[in-house]
Formats: sequence, C-alpha cells, structure tokens
Amino acid sequence: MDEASDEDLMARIAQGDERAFQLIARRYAARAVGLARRITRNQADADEIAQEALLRVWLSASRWRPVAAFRTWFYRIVLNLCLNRQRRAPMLPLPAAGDPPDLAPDPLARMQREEADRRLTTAIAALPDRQRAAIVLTYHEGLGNAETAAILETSVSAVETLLVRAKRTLRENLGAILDGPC
Amino acid sequence: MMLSELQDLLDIYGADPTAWPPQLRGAAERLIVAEPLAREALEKATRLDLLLSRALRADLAAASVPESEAATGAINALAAFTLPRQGRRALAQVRPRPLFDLNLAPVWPRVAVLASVAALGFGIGLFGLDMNTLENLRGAAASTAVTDTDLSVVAFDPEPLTGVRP
Repeated sequence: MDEASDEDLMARIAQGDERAFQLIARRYAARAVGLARRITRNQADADEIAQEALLRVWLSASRWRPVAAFRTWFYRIVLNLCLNRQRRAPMLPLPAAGDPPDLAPDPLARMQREEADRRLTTAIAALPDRQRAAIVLTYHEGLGNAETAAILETSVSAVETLLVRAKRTLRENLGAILDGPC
Repeated sequence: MMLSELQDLLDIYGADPTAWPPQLRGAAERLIVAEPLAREALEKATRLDLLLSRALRADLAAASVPESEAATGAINALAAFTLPRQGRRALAQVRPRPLFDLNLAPVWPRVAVLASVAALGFGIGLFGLDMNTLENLRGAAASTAVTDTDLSVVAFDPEPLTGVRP
C-alpha cells in the first residue's frame, strides 16, 4: 500500500482506513509543516496547523472528490488555516532561532549574504498574506501559477497580479542589494 | 514589447526564459538584446529569484526544530489519540454512489439561470399579469360606459333643432 496514489489512499480513508491515513500523513506532514512555517513564521503555530490539517483530511475524506490533485486540496487546507490564524494573531517578524551556519569562506561575503537574506526574509514577512502565500508557493513549493491559483481559490491572472505586486514591493525594500552579487 | 511588459513577464514567470510563454519569449529576448535597461531588469530578476529561493531555504534551516522532526511530532501526536468519528451525512449513506459521485459543478450556472427564469415566470404568473388585467378591465369598463352613453344619445334623444325623436 506504500506505493498507492494519494487518490487511492483517500478512497481508503473515506472508508475509515486508519493505516491509509497514517501513510498519507507521513507523505504530507513535512510539507504541511514547511508551508505553514513559511506563511505563519511561527514554529508552534505551524506544528499545530499541520496536525489540524491532517485531522481535517481524516474528517473530510468522505466528502473529498478527485476533481483536483490531493496536494492542491491539502495545501488549500493548510493555507486557509494559516491565514485564519494570522487574522486572529499577527505573525512574528523573525524566528527566534539563530541564523543557519554558512560555509562561505570569505567573511565579508558571508556577512553580505546574511544581510541580504535577513532583509529579504523581513520583506517577505511584511508582505500582505496572499502575496506572501503566492511567493512561498511559487518559490518554495515550486508550483506553477495555475496550481497556486487553485490553492488560493482565485484566477491565474489574480495570482499573476499578486506576484507582480509582491516582487515590486520586494525590489523596493531590497534596493541596492539586488545590484550586488548574491 | 515595452520595458514595463518585460518587467511584468519577469515578475510573473521569473528570470528563467524557458519558463516564459513561447509567444512572448521571442519579443522579450529581442528587447533584452536591444535595450540596456531590459538587461538590467533581467539581471535584477535573476538575483531576486536566487535570493528568494535561498532565503526561504535558509529560513527553514534557521528553525530550531527541523521540518522532518516537527512532521514526525505531528504524526505521532495524531497517532497518540483515537481518531474522531469521520463526518458522514446521513443522506450520503442512502444516496446511490454513482449519483453521489456526479460532478455537477460545470452545470450549476445554467441550473441557476433556469431556476431564476422559472421563478420569474412563476412570479409574473401569480401577480404581474393579474394586476395588469384588472387595470385593463377597469379601463375597458369605463370606455364601454362612455360608448353606451353616446349611443343612447344618438339612438333615443330628440333632434336638437327639430325635436323629432328617432
């Protein structure tokens, strides 16, 4: 059953198969945590959202129809939970943990990279929710505009507008960083 | 292609030309060759793409709990308690499965239009025409009364000059 498609597993989950649910949870838990962390910028919230999203998969399996990919439906659940939570409580500007280790040999280059990453992370965090979601889905999940639109429950042209506005804001905030080496 | 259109293309599809729509790619590449500002826009878009990919990866690496560990935690947390009863509507139990699986989504707009027209027709049938008919009947009765009066004058009243009755 490990090689079963998401759709087959969902059909089994709809019949109350807990083992199928464990399999799909193993497939998608890490993705849910990753997406939720990038959107909420809060580890504790992200972990809770991942659990809640998986639980909703279990509870709603009988109502799910394979008209779209399971991944699209699941990401939509995660994203909606993230956005709902952020409406209730504002996100944290930066993670509490320290910076990741950087193996660049040149200290100056390393400092420049860290500064660029820090400013970009802050700029992404300051974007409006849906613009940030479009950027995360495109650049971290590697999704196309059509699938991003399906997850955000909007049109492809609306996603394109979100991306244009988000990148315009990021360019303005990053300024000279985009002129130098990465 | 204008410079602003190229900037939109870069924002929507990224700096990798292979991701651009084929019908726009030729014009965009010609503009990049011909226009220094277009080349600068492409270079900035390339840097922004690189920074975005790197920053989102670094952002996760900075997290105190690795993604896979957090995912395992979520799975274990779900496994630790009994899963709740799944939501099944009573109607879903008795409905025939093939009918239940029918995807009616593309038909809904047409069904909505048909229902609206039917409701409008029903409403007009109940109220609209009746009110108009009453008004028309009243008007017709009034005009008939005038006509009757005129006819009686012509038929039974004496001639004004001679006084002779018809």
